[in-house]
Amino acid sequence: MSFVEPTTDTPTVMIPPPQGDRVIDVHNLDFFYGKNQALWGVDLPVARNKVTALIGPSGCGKSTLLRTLNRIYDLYAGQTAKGEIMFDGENILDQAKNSEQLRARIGMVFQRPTPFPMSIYDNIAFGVRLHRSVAKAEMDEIVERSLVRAALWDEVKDKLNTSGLGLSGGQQQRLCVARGIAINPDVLLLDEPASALDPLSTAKLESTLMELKDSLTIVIVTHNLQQAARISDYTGFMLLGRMIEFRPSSDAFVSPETKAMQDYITGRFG
Amino acid sequence: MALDHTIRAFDEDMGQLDGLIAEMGGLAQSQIRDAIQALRQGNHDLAGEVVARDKRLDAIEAEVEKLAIQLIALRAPVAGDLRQVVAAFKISGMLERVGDHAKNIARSTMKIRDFRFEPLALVPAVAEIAEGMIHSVLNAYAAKDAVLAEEVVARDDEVDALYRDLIRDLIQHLNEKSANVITATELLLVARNIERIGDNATNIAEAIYYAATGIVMPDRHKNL
Repeated sequence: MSFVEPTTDTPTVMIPPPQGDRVIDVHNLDFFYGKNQALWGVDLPVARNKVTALIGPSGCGKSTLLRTLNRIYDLYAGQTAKGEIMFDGENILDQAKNSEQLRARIGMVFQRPTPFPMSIYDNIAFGVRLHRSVAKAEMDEIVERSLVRAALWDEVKDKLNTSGLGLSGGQQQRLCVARGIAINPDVLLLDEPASALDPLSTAKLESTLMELKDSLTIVIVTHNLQQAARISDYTGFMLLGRMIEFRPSSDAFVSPETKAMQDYITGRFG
Repeated sequence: MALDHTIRAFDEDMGQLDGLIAEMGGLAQSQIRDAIQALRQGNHDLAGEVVARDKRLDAIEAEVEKLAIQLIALRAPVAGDLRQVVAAFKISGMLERVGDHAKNIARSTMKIRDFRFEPLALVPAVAEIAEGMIHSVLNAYAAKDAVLAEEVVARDDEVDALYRDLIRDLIQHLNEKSANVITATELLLVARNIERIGDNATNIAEAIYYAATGIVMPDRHKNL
C-alpha cells in the first residue's frame, strides 16, 4: 500500500480535551522493544469519564501505547518507555512507583477473553482478594454489583458457582470486564475486546462500556472503525508509531484533517 | 484524493453515483435550454416535449436515492466518502427541482399567446446565466472543485439583479400599458422559476463545497 512514512515533519493534528478534564496525559512518549523503537514522541490526552479510541493499521503502536498506560510491559524483559505519562499528578514511568497498585487503578481487558479456570463468582472475587481482604457478605455484594455493571448479572445469577470457562465468548469477555471493574479502577484499558465476538455480543459489550463511563474512564484499541465511531468520545489515529491525528470522534469520522487519517478510515490503505 | 479504495467495488459504486448525477445534470440543462427556446420561438410543441421529458429526471433521482442508501448501508462510508454520498443524494433532489422549474417555464409558455410582448426579450439573458451556473456547478461536481463551486455562488447575484429588473419591467407594463395580463403574469412565473434555478445551482455549489472541504460554506449575502 502506498502512503508516505511519517517523520518528525509530518503534519499532525491534536485537538485534545481541556487540560482539567484529563485523567491521563501522555507526553512525548518513546517506547522500545529491546533496541527497536515502536513509539516516537507520542502524546495522548485521556479525558475523564469518556471513551478514547485508538485506531490505526496493524503495527502502528496502538496496543503498545495502551500497554504503557498501566506499565504492563514491565512484566516483559527488555521493554522500556521514555517520556511522561501523568496520572494523578505523577509520572507513572517513574520506576519507583509500585506497578501493582497502578494496575489496580488502571485495569485491562484483553483481545481474547481470559477467564480464570474457576467459578464465575471466584473469577471476580479472586482479583478483589489480591488487593484487600473482604468479608463474605461484602464480597457477594461486590460480585453482584460488578456483574450488573458489566451487563452479565441476569445471564449468570443462577449459576455463579459454575466455571467461567463454560460461558460463551461474549459472556466471558463481559466477565473479564466485571473482574476488571470489581476493584473500582479509575481507568479501564481494552485491547480489541470485541474482535472475537459476534455482533450481538459486541453490541452488549459496547452498551456496557458506554454505561460504565459514568463511573470510569475507558481507553479502547480497536480495528473496527464503526465501533470507534459508535462508542468513543475521542479518537486517536496512529501510524508507524506516531500519533497522527487526535480529535473528538464527532468530527474524526466526518472531517478528519490529515491525509493519512482520511485515507485510512475511508479504506484506502491498511 | 488520488488513492483508490482497497475494496474496488466501492469505487465502482461511487463512479456510478457520479455518472447518474452527470446524466441528471445534462438532462436538467437541456430542459432549461429547450424551455427557453420554446418561449423565445413561441413553440408550444417543444414546450410540450419539455413537460413530457421531466419524468426521466424523476426516475434518475429515484435511482440515485436507491444507490446512495445502498452505499451507506453496505459500505458504511466515512469522512470525504460520506460527505460525497450525502452530497450526491442532496444534489439529485436539487436537480430534480431544476427540472421542475424548466417544466413550469414550459407550462407557462403553453399559456402565452403574445410572443412579441416586450419584456419577453429580457428572459433569455437571465436564463442563460442560470443555465451556465448549472453547467459550471456540474463541472465543479465532476472535479470535486471547491473553488469552482464558490465561483458559481458568486454568479447568483447577477441572476437576482436581472430578475429584479425583469419584475420591475413587468410591473411597469402592467401599470402603464394595456399589457396582456395573462402573458405578463405567466412571464412573472417564468422569471421566478429562472431565479429559483439560480438558487438551486447555488445550493448544489454549497453541497459540493462541503463535500470537498468538510467546511460549511460561509454564509454569504443572500438577496431577496
